[in-house]
Amino acid sequence: MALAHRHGPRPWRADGLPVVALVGRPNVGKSTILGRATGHFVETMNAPGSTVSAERRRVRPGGRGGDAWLVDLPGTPSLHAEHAGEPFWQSLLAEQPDAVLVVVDAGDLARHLPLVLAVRDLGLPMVVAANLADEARAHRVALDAGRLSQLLVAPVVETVARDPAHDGVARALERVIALAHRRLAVRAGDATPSATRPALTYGTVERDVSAAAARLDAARSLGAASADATLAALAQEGWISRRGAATLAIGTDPASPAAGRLARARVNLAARWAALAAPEAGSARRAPLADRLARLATAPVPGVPAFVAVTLASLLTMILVGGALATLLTDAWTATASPLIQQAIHAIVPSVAVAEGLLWGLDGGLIAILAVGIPYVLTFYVVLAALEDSGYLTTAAVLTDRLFNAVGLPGRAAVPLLAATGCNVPAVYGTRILRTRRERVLAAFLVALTPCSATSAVVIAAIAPAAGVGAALGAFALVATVTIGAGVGANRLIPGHQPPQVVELAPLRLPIPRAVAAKAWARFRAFVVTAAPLMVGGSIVLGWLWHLGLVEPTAALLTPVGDLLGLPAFAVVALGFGFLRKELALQLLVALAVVQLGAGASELGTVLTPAQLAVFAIVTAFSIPCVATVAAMAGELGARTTAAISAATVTIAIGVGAVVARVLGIA
Amino acid sequence: MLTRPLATRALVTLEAGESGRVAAIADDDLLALADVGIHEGSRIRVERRLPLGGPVIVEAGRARISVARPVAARTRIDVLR
Repeated sequence: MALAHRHGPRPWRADGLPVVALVGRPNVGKSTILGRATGHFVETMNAPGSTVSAERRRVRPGGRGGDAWLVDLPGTPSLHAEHAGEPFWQSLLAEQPDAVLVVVDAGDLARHLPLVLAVRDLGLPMVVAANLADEARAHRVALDAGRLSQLLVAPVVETVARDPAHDGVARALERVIALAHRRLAVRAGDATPSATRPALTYGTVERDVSAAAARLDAARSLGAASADATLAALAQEGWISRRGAATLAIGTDPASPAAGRLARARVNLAARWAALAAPEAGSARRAPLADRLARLATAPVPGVPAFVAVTLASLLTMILVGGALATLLTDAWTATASPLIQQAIHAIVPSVAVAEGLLWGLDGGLIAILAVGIPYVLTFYVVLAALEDSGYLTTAAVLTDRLFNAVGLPGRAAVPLLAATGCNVPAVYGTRILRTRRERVLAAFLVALTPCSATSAVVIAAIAPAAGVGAALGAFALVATVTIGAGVGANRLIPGHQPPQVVELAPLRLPIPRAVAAKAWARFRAFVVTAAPLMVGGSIVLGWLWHLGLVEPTAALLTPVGDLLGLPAFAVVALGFGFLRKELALQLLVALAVVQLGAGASELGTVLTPAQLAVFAIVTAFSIPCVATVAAMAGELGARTTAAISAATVTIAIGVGAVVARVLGIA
Repeated sequence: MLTRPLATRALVTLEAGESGRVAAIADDDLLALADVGIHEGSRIRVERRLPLGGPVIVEAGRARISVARPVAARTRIDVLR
């Protein structure tokens, strides 16, 4: 346990502001509350496990609360549940919170209160946000916030984080930040501590806690285990109460009988208090329509056909809307901006080589962004955001459970893998929700093979215009088949077995257009900020290399690979640029065509045959993950595993590409 | 109010619509089920069993939980109705 070094001064802020930690079960709305509090987009998803690391934001809610740091921690079912290899309570205390805002589902208190009780036992000032209050009312659950507040000896505020018009989040923040400021004042000696502390109410379990405290004292005097010593030090410093330290001492061994009794006591107490503070007013437990839809969605019929329809509709939306946008934007660019840029650069820059290089970047590069990046990536982000917000992703996870079992993964792996269809980087981090390293490695391997939005854009933009929508869908089917096959193979090769899994289904909700637009726009903006300079800069460099005659020798080295794939060598060079960003491969191909054949050559059919474009797209889909994914993977799983995964993807890419090339008769 | 169980059976054998209280959980499954709020004593209702060895979907409180077949086979339920 490496707690000591983590409890020094908080390096991420030295401004003396208090810290408020957001704690709650997965998918209860913590990140949405953080987004509301800061007014900035926070990655959220209506699925458990969408927050995998701490997110810190400075908030200024106004009123008497003042400024504070708000820390959004990964959703957790309990304090001892493991996240990224350490129990949650360690992650929580590492943030050195001055107060905690515990977010619960107002309509499901019995399942959420055990965590509240555990946090309360730490002795930290606490406010409870009873979120999803609107859904609770729709399900005829009548929350008595005052009664719950009396029972918990802590403020309880009803919130509807998804509704910008509801002021509950602001009130809850004001309360908890005021508590945090007061705690800072107490620690500085500017205020006296409150005389009352919530009492443990677990009956006989309290004796266990007291006994544990005594054992902890004895261990400290003997200089025993560092875990106990650190816990005691935390208590001595005032971060947690002595009782809290004792509770944690039990919690460090969740398999101990005392921990089991404590957990059961919390569950029983939570059930009693939930019945007192939030009784069900009638028999209806869910909004009828949402309930019926959720049940139908997981039934084999119509659930499976609906899943296939949703998947196809998502792809078709991307192909049709993306294609229309691509035509619109490139036509407008080539008719207006392109001639002006060419004239201007040739007039200003005397050197032909320099001018041509600039044209590669400023004309060819930007056309490529307009033809591939903006239309397809933006469309995909909108579709993905809508699916995430609807809660459908966990339903998809259950429907594909058996499929995932075949590749050694639990159904919950669907969350990072579906996220990978947007971008591989967050998906790699998302593998943290898996329990074992084996599962994480398998999932990361499949993430690397899963076409991200940029790769999907390459597949669609390369194949659909030249060979039709059916061919593009066929390419996706091939990619999916090979990915599953690779997963089955990896599952057999990597030692170990897959533990059976349990997944909580997110409730189905109508996506909020504003939230979907905000999420899609935030991701798209990040994409453009990262991709545009890379694309323009990369195109300029490649343009100069081309005019200096340096691309040809590189291409010559790659001729054997080109022969194997039935591709000209320059196309293999473009494939190599896919390592920077996936869409760069195709965009550079477009840029190449534009510079070689003029602005009208943004049609890829003038550069490669439909069969060659199909091979190009398929190899791009499988080949080595982009540099950002490699960096994320190396950080999460280590350099050796990342190298092995990258080598495997390159082998699969070239192997499948070579087979397809032979089938299509181009190699 | 306590209700006498009709029988104690493996969760995987319960039909859609049957409900009960969790009587016993295998050690290997304790943490996974606790993560979704299911403990010994929790009340659950079976929504459906997916075919082809798919998971069992149960309701626990307001939550809907997908439980893999092997876990459902090891989890004992005091069937109430």
